[in-house]
Amino acid sequence: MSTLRRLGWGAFAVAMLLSGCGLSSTNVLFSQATQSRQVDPTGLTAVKAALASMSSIETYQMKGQIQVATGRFVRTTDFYGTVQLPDVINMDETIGGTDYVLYQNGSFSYYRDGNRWVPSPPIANLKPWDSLTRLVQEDPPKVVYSLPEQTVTSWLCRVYQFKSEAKGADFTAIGNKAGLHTIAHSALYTVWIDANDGQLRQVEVQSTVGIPDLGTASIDATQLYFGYNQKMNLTVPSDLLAQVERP
Amino acid sequence: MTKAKRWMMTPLLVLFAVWAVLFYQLVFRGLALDYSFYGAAIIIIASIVFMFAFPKSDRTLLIRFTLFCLAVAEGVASFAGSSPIWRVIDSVVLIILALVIGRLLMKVRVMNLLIVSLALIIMQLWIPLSDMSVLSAFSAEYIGHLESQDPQIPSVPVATIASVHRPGLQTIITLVGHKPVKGEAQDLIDLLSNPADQASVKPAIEELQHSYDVIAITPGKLRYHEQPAQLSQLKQLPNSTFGLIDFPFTTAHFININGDTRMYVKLSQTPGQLLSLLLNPASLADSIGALGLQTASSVESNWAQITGHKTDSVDGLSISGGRLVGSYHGSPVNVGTTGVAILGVHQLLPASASSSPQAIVEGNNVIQVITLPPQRPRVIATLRGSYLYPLTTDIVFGDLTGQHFDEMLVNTVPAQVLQLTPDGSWKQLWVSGRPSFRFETIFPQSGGDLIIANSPSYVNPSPTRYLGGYKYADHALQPVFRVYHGDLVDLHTVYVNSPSSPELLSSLYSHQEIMLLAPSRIPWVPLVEAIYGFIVVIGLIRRVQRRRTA
Repeated sequence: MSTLRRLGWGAFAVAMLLSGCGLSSTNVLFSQATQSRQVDPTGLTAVKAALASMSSIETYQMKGQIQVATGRFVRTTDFYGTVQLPDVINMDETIGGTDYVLYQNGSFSYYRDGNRWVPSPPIANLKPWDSLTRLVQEDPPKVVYSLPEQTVTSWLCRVYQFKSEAKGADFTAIGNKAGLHTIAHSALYTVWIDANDGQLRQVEVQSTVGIPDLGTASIDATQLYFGYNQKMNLTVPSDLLAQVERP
Repeated sequence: MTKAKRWMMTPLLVLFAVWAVLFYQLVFRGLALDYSFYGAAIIIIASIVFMFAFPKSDRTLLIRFTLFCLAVAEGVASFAGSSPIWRVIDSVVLIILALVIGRLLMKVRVMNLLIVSLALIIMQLWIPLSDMSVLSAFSAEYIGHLESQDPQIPSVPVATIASVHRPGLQTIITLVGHKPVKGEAQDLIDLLSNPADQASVKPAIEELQHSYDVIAITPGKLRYHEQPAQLSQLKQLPNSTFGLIDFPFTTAHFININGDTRMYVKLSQTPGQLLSLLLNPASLADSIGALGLQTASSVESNWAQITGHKTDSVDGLSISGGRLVGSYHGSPVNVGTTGVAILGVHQLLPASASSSPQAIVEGNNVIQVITLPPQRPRVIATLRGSYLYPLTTDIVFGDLTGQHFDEMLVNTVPAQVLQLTPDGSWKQLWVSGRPSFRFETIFPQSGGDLIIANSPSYVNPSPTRYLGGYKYADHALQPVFRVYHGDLVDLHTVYVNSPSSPELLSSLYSHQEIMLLAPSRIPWVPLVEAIYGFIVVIGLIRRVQRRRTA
C-alpha cells in the first residue's frame, strides 16, 4: 500500500472517529465497473484467437465455482481438479459443505459420497473452450468490451467482456412447460486471456433467473484453467479399485 | 489482612474478573476489529494507562491476575464445542492447572482463585464467550443449537408464525438435528407393513441419521420450550422457509411421522452433472436457471404434500400465470406483471400521493410497484437490475425518514436506499461505499426506523461484517450501536416475548446456532468503560498514597 493511501486511510479513520463514524453515501462502486469498460472493435477477434489456441491442450487443471444468490443466501459449489482429454477426470467438488470426488476414465465413471463410490454417467465434452467457440461463432456478440489488464493468480491477463445468448437446450423444455419465461436467455461473459501466450485463463458467466415465489436468483460461475499439458498421473483411486475388486 | 477484609476480597476479585472479561470482549475486541491499527494503538495506550496508574508494588499482581482471568475465560470457551461430559472433564483439568500456575505466579489464595475460575465458568453458562459481544446492545434471550454432525446446513433456517395461544406474539420455527432413539428404526420398519405409510417411512429409515426435526419454540416461565411443530403452524410458512438450504444445489424433502415433521436434503444434481454444466459455459446460465426452477418446483411440491400449503400469498395477494391476483381489503385485484414473487405490501408513497399501500413484486432482475384498491391496480414504477448489479429479493422496507412512508433498502452490491417518488422514478437516498455492507432488518421507531445492518470495519478493508444499528439522517447512516459478532445472518425482527418491544432472531453462519436477542436494558459498554476509569482512578490514588507514605 502506498504511503499516500496509508495516509488516506489514516485521515479517513480519524475523520470517522471524530464524526461518530457516520456512513456517508457514495456512488463510487457503481461508477467503477462501467467507467473502466471500453468498447473494443478487435475484442471478438482476440477472444476467438485465444479459443483457437486451446486446440493444443491435452491436459489441464481447473479451479471453478458456481455461485447462486437467492433471497438472503449466497450458495456455492466449488470444483478443483484435473482433466486429461479426451475423457479422464479427477475432480474434487464441495457441494453444500460436503466433499465429493469424481473420477472418470472413458466410460468408467464414479463419484465418492462419504466412503462409498457411486456409479455416475460419464461426461462427454470436457473442453469448455469448444462450448465458448460455438457460442461466439453461432451468435457473435454485438459489442465486446475490454477491461483494464488484471493479474489472475500470477498471470497477467487481457480482459474482455460481452453479452451473449445462452444456448440451453434443457431450459427451453422446463421454462416453456411452466409457462414462466423467467430465464433471460442471455448472460454476461468475461474472458481473461494470458497476455504472454494468448491462451484462455479464466471465464466468468453471470446471469439471472426469476424463480416463482423466490424472485431473482443471480448466477455467477467462474472457472480458472492452469497446468496446461503438464504430465498428470490420473490413476484410479485405490479405494475405488478396492471397492470394485471386493468380492 | 483481617478476616473481614479477606472475605471482602473474594467478591471483589470475582467482580474484577467478570469486568476484565467483559471489558476485553466489548471494548478491546471492538477497537481492534473496527479501527485496525488505530484501534490497536488505543488498546496499547489504554493498557499502559491501566498498568502504570498503579504503583509498582501492585502492578505485577494486577497484570498477572488480569491475564489469569482472560486466559481461564478463553480456556473454558475452547471446550464449548465438546460433549457435556468432555466439557466437565476439560474444565476440571483446566481449573487444576490454573490453580497451580495462578498460585505460583500470584499471591492470591487458592480458594479465591478457585472461586474466580468457577465464576468465569458460570458466566459462560449465562452467555458463551463467543457470543458475549452481543451484550453491547442486546441480551441473549435464547440460544439454540442444531446439534447435527452434518455439514449440509451452513446456517440454520429461522422463521416465526403468529402464536395461537399468545395473541400478538410469535412462535419461532426452526430445525434441530434428529436424534434417533433406541428402537426407533425397528418401529419404522414395522410401519413399512402398512402400504399407506411406505412413502414417508422409507426415506425416514434411510435418512434417520441425517434428518432434522422441525420444531416450534415458545417462551415459558423459566425457560424456552422446544416442541415438534404442528402441521397447522407449518401451513402458515412459505415453502422457501426451509427450501433454500444450499439452493439450488440441494433439494429439501419433508416427511411426516406420527404427526412430527422431519426434513432431509438430497443433491439436486450429481457431482458429475454439476461439472458437466460448468464445462459448458455457453449453456451454463440457462442450465443453472433451469436447475433453480426445477429445484424450487420440487421443494414447493414437497412442502405442499406435507403441510397442505398451496400458494405463497401476501395480504390476500398471490401471483399466478403472470398476473397479480386476489383481493385487497375486499376489492378484487387482477393485473398483469412480470413479477414472480411478492416482496410485500408497503406504503412507498406519501399519503398525499397515494391513499393506499402498494404491492411490490419481483421478476427476473426487475422490481415492479403496483397500486392497490381503492386505486385501480396498475404498475406505477419499475426498477431494473443488470448482470453486473443484479437485483435480489434481499430487500428491507422501512420508514427511515419518519415521514410515514417506507423506503426500500436494497441489498445489491453495493447496498442502497431507494425512495419512490410520485412520478414513478426512484430517488437514491444512500449508497454504500463498501461492497460487503448489507441491510438486515429494521426496528420500528417514531421519527425514523432503526436500521439493523451487517457492516464492515470502518478502517480495515477486510469484507468481514459486524452487526450495527444506524439511523438515517442527512444522506448518511449515523451509528447507534455496534456488536462485534461477525456471524449473525438471516436476521428477523420478531415479537416473541412482547407485542410492543421488537427482538432480533438470528442464525449464526457456520455455527449451526440460532439466537433470540432482546434490546439490552443494561448499558454494558459505558458501564465497563466507567469501571475502567474508576479502576485507573483507584490506581492513581494508591500511587499518591504510596508516595506520601514513602
